[in-house]
Amino acid sequence: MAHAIEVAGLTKHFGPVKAVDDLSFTVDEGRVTGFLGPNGAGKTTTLRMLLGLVNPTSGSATVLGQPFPALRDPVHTVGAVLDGGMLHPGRSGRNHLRTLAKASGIGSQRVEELLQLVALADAAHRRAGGYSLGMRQRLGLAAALLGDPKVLVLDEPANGLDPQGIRWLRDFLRQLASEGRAVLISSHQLAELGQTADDVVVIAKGRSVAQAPLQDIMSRARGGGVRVAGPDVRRLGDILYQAGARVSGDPTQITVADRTGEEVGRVIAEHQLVISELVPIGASLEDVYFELTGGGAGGPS
Amino acid sequence: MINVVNSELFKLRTTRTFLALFGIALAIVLVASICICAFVNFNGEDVSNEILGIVFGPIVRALALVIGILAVTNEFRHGTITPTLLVVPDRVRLMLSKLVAVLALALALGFVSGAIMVGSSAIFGELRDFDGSQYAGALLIGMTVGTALNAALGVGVGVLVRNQVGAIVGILIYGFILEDLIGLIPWVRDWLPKYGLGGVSNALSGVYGDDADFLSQPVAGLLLALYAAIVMAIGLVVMRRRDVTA
Repeated sequence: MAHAIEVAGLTKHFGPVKAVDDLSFTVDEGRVTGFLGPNGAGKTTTLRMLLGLVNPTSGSATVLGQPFPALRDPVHTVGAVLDGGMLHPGRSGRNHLRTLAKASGIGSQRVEELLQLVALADAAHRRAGGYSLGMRQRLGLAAALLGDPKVLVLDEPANGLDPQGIRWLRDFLRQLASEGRAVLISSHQLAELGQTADDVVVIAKGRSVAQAPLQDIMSRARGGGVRVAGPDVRRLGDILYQAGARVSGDPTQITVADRTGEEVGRVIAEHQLVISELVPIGASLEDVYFELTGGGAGGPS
Repeated sequence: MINVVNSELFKLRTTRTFLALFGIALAIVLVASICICAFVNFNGEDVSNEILGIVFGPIVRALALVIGILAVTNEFRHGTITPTLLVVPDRVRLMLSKLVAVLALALALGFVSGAIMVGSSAIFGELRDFDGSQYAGALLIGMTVGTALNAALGVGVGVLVRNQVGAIVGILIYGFILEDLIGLIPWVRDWLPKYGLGGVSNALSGVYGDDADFLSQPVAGLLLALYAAIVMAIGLVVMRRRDVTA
């Protein structure tokens, strides 16, 4: 059976620049797959090639076994939001959706349902030029859902959403996946993606650096060590340092990078030290991300 | 295809620029036709329909050209080409649907404009006793077909040149200035005024009678349709290969 999304050996050159380099990954139905990478890593170019907007230099990208432009019923197969909602500023939100609905033979009732779903019914008559980024994102999401598609491709969908909107989006994406749909989501909000994604594809400089279930990737990453606070932490730090541990911090709180909580606890007991706090620090998705992509090579943006 | 054409018609109806251009074209023709027919002193040789066709035909055609360009370039300017292509991935089908939608509206614009000119001439011709009926049929056909074909040419230009300002300024400069200047070159002078965009459009207006400097109305119509088809075909070839990155 074909994967919901299959990218194989995808490569794209823009003149001398190699934006995507022999990239391969798959996305399966019933899973939310996070697509991560620094700015300029080639995420958006990859999604645009997947959706037939950019022609690959080589390689292929298919949705349910077919290239996107060859799909017989694209609206009911794939829904996508790219670069936020792109709108004509003089057209109302409702009319924006209606232009897309009419092109695919979808009635106005579905448009109204979606406006309710994304909480834009009250603003739907207003010209889209006055919409906030969050409203544009929600309208874009409504457009992606017009055909109740089997596959969703979302590029930074949480941009501009308030915490309530982000939580709604997370629950909504989980619900879509539980219904058997495939969701591919690129995002910079790593903590958010850590709570949403089942699988993760990480790319850097156009190449895949990791593709696995999120839990596998997290467990593969280096542990975060232990944080200890209290009156005797300075002495504890000295003892651990002399024993070869990597210790950092100040006289009131230290972090031991390469020892477990149990190992540090035994040292504390052996030397009868007084502490007030001992907290294991787990590796976050952010730590893993920086480890895999080489420490934020994309720079600030 | 019908769904996509409906969507394109809806897009045109829901933007103020298009409505404004449509309204401006009709307002200019209406006000000016009435004023000219009501107040100008025509002598015995003057034909009111000829004057109206020569003076206002190019204005309506130019506005139709701009409407055609806007129908395509607005998508690229505002980035709506991306959601549109996600719904209609076949770029050729999308652009041909735009062409059909623009043609339909431009036919209506041209017909109404022509009817206003012909109607004003006929009414005031009766009232003021001048010849207001000559060229009436040719003018009505010329305005209708000429406006539609210029709008189609605009769609082709828009498909070929995505930059909205560049496309509009470029085609207007060519049509109103450059073609006349090129026509001054000795070896071009013999054919460009007759077969160029301006000459063919003027001939299509149907008010030049048997003037040997102009093509007959049917030939002019076919030639302008050929020009529009060539530009559209080149645009579609380029469009299919082009990356849509915004």
